[in-house]
Amino acid sequence: MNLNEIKRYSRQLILPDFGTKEQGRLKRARVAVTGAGGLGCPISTYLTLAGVGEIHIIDFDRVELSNLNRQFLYTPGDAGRQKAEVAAKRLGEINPEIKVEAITEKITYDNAFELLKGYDAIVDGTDNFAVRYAVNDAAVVNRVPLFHGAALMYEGRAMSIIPRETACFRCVFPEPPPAGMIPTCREAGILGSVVGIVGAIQASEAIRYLAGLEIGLKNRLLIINADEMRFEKVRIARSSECTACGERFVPKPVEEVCAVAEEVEE
Amino acid sequence: MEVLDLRGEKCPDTFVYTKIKAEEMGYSGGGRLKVIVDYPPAVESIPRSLAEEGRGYKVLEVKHLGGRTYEIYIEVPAFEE
Repeated sequence: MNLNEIKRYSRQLILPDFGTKEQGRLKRARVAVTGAGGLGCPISTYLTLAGVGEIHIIDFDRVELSNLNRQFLYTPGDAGRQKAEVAAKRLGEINPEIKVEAITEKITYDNAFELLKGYDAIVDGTDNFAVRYAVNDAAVVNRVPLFHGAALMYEGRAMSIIPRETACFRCVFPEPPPAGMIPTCREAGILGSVVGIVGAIQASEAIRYLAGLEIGLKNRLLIINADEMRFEKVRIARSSECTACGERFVPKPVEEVCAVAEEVEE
Repeated sequence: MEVLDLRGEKCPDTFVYTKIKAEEMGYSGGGRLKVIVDYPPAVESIPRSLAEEGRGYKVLEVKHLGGRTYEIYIEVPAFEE
């Protein structure tokens, strides 16, 4: 650790259970953040601040003005630019001690397994079911720990997945919701501070895991309700019938059904 | 009748503009609103989203003008607040 690093990380180096060994583990870690949106901004920012050594931001999307109530890495002047590139540049400026790279590829079921290989962790900030299932299956098959999160309206969810040890996303949600449950436009609403809570929780879990510390969302689904600010932890378990982490892996791509997803093109 | 031409807009922006307009009308005494869209999923999602608002909006009629263009007629009540 150089002097800048010691100063920069001083307030976490003095934490109980945390020290130079843990900081060293963070520095050697290679992490993929899938999505540079409402979740991806807080996730990648906190990983950057904590000193995760190599962060890959994966997002094919471009900045729009309607992102700016929650995606704090962007300014109006960034509209039209690749999110991953803007985010990587900004994060690199925030912490020059680490490496942040942009991958502007769209994650699909076909490329996820190759794209998400060789990481120490994946922190998921994707906003639709097709990609979420692709990321889960790739993480399980590649045995990369996955920190899942989702937020909609005033609600959020998070869970931490250690492949073949704890329940994966598909153990809990084998299928996406039926087409009849397609959210209405209203349900596409989101408050920046709420999605920020979820992203910060995912980042905390990932950072503690990478540092070699215990984490709280293994085999647990955290359900956050910001209407009444209720946090609920539900016990979950692996399923032997899970097509991702059960006895036999079965590839199961999921179609995107949400008509309000911003990337939906006719 | 107020007219909101949302041709060229997609979800959820079609609802964003409809909601803003309807609230503006509701707070100033209510009235009738015609929304024109050319994004077919909005024909279903605007009425559904309006119903979920619980403001007493009434969709009076949906007219298909041919092609992808539809008109949605909405009765906006006067808001209490």
